[in-house]
Amino acid sequence: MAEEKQTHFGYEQVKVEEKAGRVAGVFHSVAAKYDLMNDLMSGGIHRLWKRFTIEASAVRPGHSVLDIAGGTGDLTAKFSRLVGENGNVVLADINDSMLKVGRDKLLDHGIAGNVQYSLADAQHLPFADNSFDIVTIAFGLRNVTDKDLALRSMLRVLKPGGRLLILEFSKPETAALEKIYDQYSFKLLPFMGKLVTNDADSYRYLAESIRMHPDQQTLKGMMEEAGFENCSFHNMTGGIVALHKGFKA
Amino acid sequence: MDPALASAFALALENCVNAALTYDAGTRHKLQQLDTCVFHFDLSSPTLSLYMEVSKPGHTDENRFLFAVYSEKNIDCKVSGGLSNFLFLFANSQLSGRGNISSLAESGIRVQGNTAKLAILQDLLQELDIDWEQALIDFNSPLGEGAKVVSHQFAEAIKHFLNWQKENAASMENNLVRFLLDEIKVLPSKVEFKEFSTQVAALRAASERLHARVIRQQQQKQEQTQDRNKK
Repeated sequence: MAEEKQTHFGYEQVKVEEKAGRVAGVFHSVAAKYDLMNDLMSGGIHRLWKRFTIEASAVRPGHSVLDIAGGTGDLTAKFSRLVGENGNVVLADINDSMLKVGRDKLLDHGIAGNVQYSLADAQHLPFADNSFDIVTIAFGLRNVTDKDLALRSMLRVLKPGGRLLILEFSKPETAALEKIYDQYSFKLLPFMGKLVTNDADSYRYLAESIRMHPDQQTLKGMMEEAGFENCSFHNMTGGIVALHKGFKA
Repeated sequence: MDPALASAFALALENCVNAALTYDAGTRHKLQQLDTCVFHFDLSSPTLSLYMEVSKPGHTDENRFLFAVYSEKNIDCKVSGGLSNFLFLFANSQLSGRGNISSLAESGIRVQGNTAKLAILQDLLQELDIDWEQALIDFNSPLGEGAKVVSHQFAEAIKHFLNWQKENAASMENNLVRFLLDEIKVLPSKVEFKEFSTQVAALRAASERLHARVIRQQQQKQEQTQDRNKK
């Protein structure tokens, strides 16, 4: 009998076909208080990471942008203003709970007209080839089961000359920072999760999934392997987060 | 500098500058002269690259300053130098009221690109007239009418102080010159300096003539010696 393919779900090994469901469970659980937890966990710094991502996207009025794993729509809200009436932004997420929270939040802020919503899997993006000038995925790639497949899918939907931006947790640059970060993410983070969302396990998964995610150089190599060109990355907050950038030739 | 830290600085600066601009309608209007202009401030110590764009973000009608730590837009003017150079230039222009483009000459700051746009920006900074009174009143308005009156008095006091400081700064340079020239006489007057310069020039011309004459006589003596040896 053929051996069943396994992948990681945090530190746990699960069947490939189970991972998406398990990740979905985590995000269904935290969707309602996702923004609050983001602010608490990062001390608001996630807004600066996202601000830098927007700047690095070099988005222009009229551009077409795909925000994968867009969740509660932080990036989409900013892109929507910058692309203007002639541009469009697609907020895509595999999780319907997150997508609903994002859609409601954006509508409450009066952001409509140039934003579409799509329940989509990053590995099999339901868009035509060469559709977008910019594709972003912020804090989402580490939850994707087959990252190589997702990268190839993103390359396919990008227009030639378009750019992919991956904002994701990464490996701290110094050992001292790594130790402090370990203490924070394995002890304080689940405790905060328990207090705010009554769900410590989801935040334990968050910490574990960050450790299992490829480091800066590995991810850059994966992007190049998928077909992206001029790949580079910027470390932020000492490498806790990195922004990877690559172009479609 | 870490991009997150630089972004925090840019965000804080953007909020501060634009909040201040809401209390200066004149400067807001004049910003049209810089519409879509992008300035690049490149600080060497600490290392910080800051892009400042004047534009109308989203659906707003008025120009705002937007600060970014990364930009791929065409740069109108790049200004580079150390933080201390920038601070010195800013303080100097504020005190002397002469913050024009020519004052960059000895400031240690390098400018590339459209200097006319930079001059406009400097003029705007010079002519900033922020309505601090309204800002204070707005800040204290949740506290009630009494707070508004106190805010008004406080703002008046600040305005008087700033006017007094501006007048003092303008007259200080004149007073200092007079004190050094006339009172303690540690510096020569313009006339004395000119006279001295003329004397130095005359002495230099005389010494050059003397030098030329000595060389000529040496040559003559050398020629005479050679003639004598031939005979």
